[in-house]
Amino acid sequence: MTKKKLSDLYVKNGMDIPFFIMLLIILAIGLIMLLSSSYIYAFHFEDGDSLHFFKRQGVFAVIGIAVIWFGSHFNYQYLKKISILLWFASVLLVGGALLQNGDAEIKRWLNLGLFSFQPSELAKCFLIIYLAYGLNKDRKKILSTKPSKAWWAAPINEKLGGKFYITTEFSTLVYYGFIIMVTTAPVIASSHLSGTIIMLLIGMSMLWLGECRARWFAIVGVIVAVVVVYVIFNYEDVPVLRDYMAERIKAWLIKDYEPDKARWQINHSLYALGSGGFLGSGIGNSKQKYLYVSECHTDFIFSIIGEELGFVGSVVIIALFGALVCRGVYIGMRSRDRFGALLCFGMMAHLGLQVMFNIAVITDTVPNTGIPLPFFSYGVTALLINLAEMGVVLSVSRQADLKKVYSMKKQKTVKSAQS
Amino acid sequence: MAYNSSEAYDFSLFEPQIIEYPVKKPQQSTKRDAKRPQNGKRVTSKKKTAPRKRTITREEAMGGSVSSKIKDFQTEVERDAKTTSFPEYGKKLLCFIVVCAILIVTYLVLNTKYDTLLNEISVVESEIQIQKGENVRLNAELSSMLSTDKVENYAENVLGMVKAENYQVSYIDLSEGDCVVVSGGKSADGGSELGGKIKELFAYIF
Amino acid sequence: MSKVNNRLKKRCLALLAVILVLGFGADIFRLFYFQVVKAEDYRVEAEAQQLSDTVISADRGVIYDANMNVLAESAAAWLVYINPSKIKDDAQVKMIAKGLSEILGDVEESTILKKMENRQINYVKIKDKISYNIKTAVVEFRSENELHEIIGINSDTKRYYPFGNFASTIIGMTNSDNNGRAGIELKYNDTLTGIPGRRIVARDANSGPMQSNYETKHDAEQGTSLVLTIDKSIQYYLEKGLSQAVKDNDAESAYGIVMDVNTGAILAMATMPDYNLNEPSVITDPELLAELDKITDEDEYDVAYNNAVFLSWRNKAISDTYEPGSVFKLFTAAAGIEEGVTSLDSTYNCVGAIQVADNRIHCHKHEGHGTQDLTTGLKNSCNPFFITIGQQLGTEKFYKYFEAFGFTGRTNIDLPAEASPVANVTYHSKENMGISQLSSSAFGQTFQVSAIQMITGVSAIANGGKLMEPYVVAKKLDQDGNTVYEKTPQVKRQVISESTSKTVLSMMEAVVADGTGRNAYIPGYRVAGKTGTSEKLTVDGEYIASFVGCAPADDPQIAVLIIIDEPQGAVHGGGAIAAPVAGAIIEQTLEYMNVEPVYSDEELAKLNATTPEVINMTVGGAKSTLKGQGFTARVIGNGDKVISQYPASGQSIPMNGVVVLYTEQGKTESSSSVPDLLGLSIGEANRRAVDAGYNIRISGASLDSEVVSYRQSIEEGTQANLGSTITVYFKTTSGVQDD
Repeated sequence: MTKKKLSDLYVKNGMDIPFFIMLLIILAIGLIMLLSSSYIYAFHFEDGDSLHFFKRQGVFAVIGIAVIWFGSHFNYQYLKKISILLWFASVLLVGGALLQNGDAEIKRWLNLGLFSFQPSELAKCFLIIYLAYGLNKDRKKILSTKPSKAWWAAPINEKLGGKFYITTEFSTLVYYGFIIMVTTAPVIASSHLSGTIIMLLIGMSMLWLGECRARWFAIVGVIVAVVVVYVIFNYEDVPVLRDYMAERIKAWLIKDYEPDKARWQINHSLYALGSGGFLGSGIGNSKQKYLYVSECHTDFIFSIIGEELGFVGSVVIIALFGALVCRGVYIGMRSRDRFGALLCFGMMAHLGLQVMFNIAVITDTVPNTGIPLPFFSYGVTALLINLAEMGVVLSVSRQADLKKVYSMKKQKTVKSAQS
Repeated sequence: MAYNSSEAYDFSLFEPQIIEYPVKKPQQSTKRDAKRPQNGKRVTSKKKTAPRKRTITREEAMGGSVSSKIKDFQTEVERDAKTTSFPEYGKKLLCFIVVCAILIVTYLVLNTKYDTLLNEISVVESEIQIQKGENVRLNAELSSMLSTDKVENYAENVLGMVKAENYQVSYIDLSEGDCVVVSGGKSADGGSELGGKIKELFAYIF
Repeated sequence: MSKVNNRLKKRCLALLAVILVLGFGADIFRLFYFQVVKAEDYRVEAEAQQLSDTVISADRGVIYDANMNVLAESAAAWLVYINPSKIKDDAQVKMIAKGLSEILGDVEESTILKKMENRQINYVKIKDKISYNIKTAVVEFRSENELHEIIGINSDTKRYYPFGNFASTIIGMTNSDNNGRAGIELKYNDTLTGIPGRRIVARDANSGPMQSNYETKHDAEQGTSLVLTIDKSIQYYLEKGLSQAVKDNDAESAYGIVMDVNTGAILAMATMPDYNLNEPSVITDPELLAELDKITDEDEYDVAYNNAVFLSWRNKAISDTYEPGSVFKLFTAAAGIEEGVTSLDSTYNCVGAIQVADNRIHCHKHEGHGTQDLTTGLKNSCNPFFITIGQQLGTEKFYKYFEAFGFTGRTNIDLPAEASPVANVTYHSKENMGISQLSSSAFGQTFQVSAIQMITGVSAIANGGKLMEPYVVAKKLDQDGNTVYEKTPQVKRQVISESTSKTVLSMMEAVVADGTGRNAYIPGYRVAGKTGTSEKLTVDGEYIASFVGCAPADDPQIAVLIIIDEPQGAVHGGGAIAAPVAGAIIEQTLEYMNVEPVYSDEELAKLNATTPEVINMTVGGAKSTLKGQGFTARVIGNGDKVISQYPASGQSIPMNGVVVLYTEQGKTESSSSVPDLLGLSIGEANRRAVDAGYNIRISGASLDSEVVSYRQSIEEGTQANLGSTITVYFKTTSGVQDD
């Protein structure tokens, strides 16, 4: 696809309906649960307007759906051309948020006058797009074990003389690792731990999907494991950890640690889950949402879901997310090209990680950190960005060859025919 | 490559829908014709041409693999363009979702109203408690302002009033005759009259 | 265009597996753990947090007087406290102290500063029982200065006593825990308190309401309200009279009781000086304060202050005992008549003293009263006469009546801290009553009674011989105002016959008409009474003056007992100082009870007259009109027409009073300095007042001509409008001595 006509900007093909419907179902449940979990909080803190959060989220959900319905006609191939720009923009935004809130303890919000949002959310999306583009483009380099010709590696290789040399594969990995770190650095600097972790995991997932050699992942995995274990046992002495981070790790490790209600939120989340039991207390009947679970309409919305819909409802919602992710992956596998596949996989990895970590937080599986649940938690910019990511997947689906049922054989024949 | 071109989603969970597909389509199409002829036309043509198209695309795909990749892609795009319309099961599912969502949302909105009222009640209740207290306090204040010694003091020292002497008070004996007599004693008569009439009536009946 | 290769797919599937199986799987596992395995534990925890078990406080009952005027009522109030551990710096301390002191009013800045000194503690009460508007001001101050963590407000209850000092010794007050501390509040604490309820209900994290299916509620049983027999008006007359008596005689204290003789209901009971129920721990008496200020040592001062406070709460009318003195002669006479040892016709020759065993007991009139009948003997309050009657009765019979009139036991009035008589300590037991004890007891010496015992006994004499049980609470009302209990008057026993009662009453009436009780005489009413004066056994040279009276003598309704403790000055007899007080109270009470006065001709002649209308008349015409009606005219200004008059027409002034006529504009408000009208006879006082341009109103006048003025309503030297009426109080000082 070297040259495109203007008409190619618009793809008329149908999109993947099951994916779209599943998205709508999740969104609808998300909105309903947002209403149920937020109305008490809204009544008390939004001047008695119980529907405050629901109305805003609802309006933006409708706008978002409309936008991705029409926006997914956009030919995603054009993302290749602007991916580097998007990446620059994301670094600028995250850096901007850091600079804007120079003195504040928490620097993750960017105020654009009309509205403020967390640029790291956008940065994740743009990073996926750029990595999908780059890793697709540089596939040969990634697979090559020849000496690297990168500007920084070539002189070293010369000096080493030939017996040992930096492979192209390694230098490319370093380059993309660097890209990920540049995007993540401002997020780390803004003390946004959860954003950092999610972003690094997305980056690693993309590198993995980009077919980088598995041994590097093994090495990184071991290092990460050692660091995590070290931090858990020495959280009080790790210099890079901020006080509040150490505090949260402590609150996670020591279940009855109670200064200044450090475990208030997570304990009440668990009380909510326990109150829900197997079948739940019924929609709208949560008691823990009566100001007990703080942030129960944003990061901790799932604990209210657990209380109202019970274990069954929780599992159904997790299953819906799983199904959506699977369908997204399926679209990726059937996509017209490798770029589309990487886009889909990246977006789905993001979604999956986000859901996984959010529920891990509310079940006290990992230390308490603010990760919103996509399509459920209140936050209109996050909602729009999440929907935009789904829009990208739908855009890929419009050109994907979805008729072929998951048969690798058939694909092989096509492949052979093509070559 | 395109052997089930118009049934792109028949692997899905909604197979029964597809069985109904040809039966329902005409009805749907007439509706659509009335509304949007262009669209309807497309759907109808698709239905009619579906079997034919299937074979054609297959041939083309086979041939395409040999001749040119570009043509293959173009036909693929052309075919897919015809599946843009929303499938029937999707619409039904969407309707179902929307109805359910509206019902649940309505229930929850009523819940919010109930909760708002509960809060209002509790606010009013505490307000009542406060006002009760205020009432007692103000009454006490009023009583203390109107206490006998204050009134007497004010009357004597500010208004220059003097207490009435005993001899200035005339006593009237009300132990007898202090009752109102309605002139003519009509009420008493009226009662007996009515009683008499009723008696007469009963006498008449039996 | 690169197609989706297999390695990518495999890697993707691996990643998918990690996220779905490991990630989502772990989540589901954890959810299962919390929602199924551990669900019950956490649900119980959650409910423990949500359910609040609150006590529904029961409102303390209201205390009403006999006419349903509120005497005590509780209402919601608030309490302000400080959490010093949250204070940041000294500037904040100063700001808080200044702000709170300004809002709370009567809490000193230094007091608050002192309370905040210890920064380790979490709770220091600053002030309790604050009203709603003050609470609102505190809340405003708190949010203005962002002191939410430091200043706290709790709910509280405050007991309001609308009339402050009024009936303080009867009503009593509550402590900070809302428990009665004295008076009715203490005696009926359980009745008034009620039973607090409980409410177990789900609440949100801010203790707000919450939708919930479970609610357990035990309603609070509201406190029972009490209706007293105390009548606000009569109580007021009594208190006014007593406080005036304390002032006039510079007495230590004065106390008195007004009782309904037929039921035993206490209509009024007071002790002066009293205290303010709303501020029971504050001494307001300036004299007492001056005395306390002499104490320099701080600790000593506190102790003395507290003692003085406790003393001020004492209801002396039931807790104090005194030697009844001559008043007791009534009982000796009643017993003598009832037993037939004496009668109205009995005579006795008083020679000024009588020999009893080894002692010679003197009559207060050392030269002796001469031969006198029983009535005269009582009028003269002759000691030897009554010693003789006592001796004629003998120990057995005397003690029988002593006991029957209730002097050996408590009256069981429903008030706390009633003095308990102790045999051989406060009175002589029958076994130990020899001739000398019998003799001294017969005229009211060497034993002690409480005021409530005395008035109960006198009531028995007045009401035809029935000893009643005195009581203060007439009715109990539930929270809806329904009567749940009504006191029925309890007759303890018939002590004397009705005829004896009538006889003693007629003798008492004579005492007031022209005996030692003359100062209690009221024109138009028939008052019966007896005076008493006794030397205090505990303090040298101090006396207790008392007067007991009943009215109307032909059909007694009320009994009044006035006791003046340690009066200073030359005149300290009951007839001289207690009788006028009782007289005024009886007069006002009978008037209030609508008892019609019946005047004799003699009385009518001394009555006042009403001023005629003379405005717009010529000066001459006005003068002659006034003169014709027996008034004196005094003209101000040079006009020839009367523009206004003072007093206005229809006002009551004494016969021969002065009417000021104003004849010029702008001269209507002439005022002058009030003359000294004390120590004069009625005629002299009237003349002096008229000369100065004032009218007098004669108060406390007995028919006696020997009266002397002892008080005037407008003090000497005060500026007052010409023609104003000055009430002048008269009493007699001769022939009322009785000890």
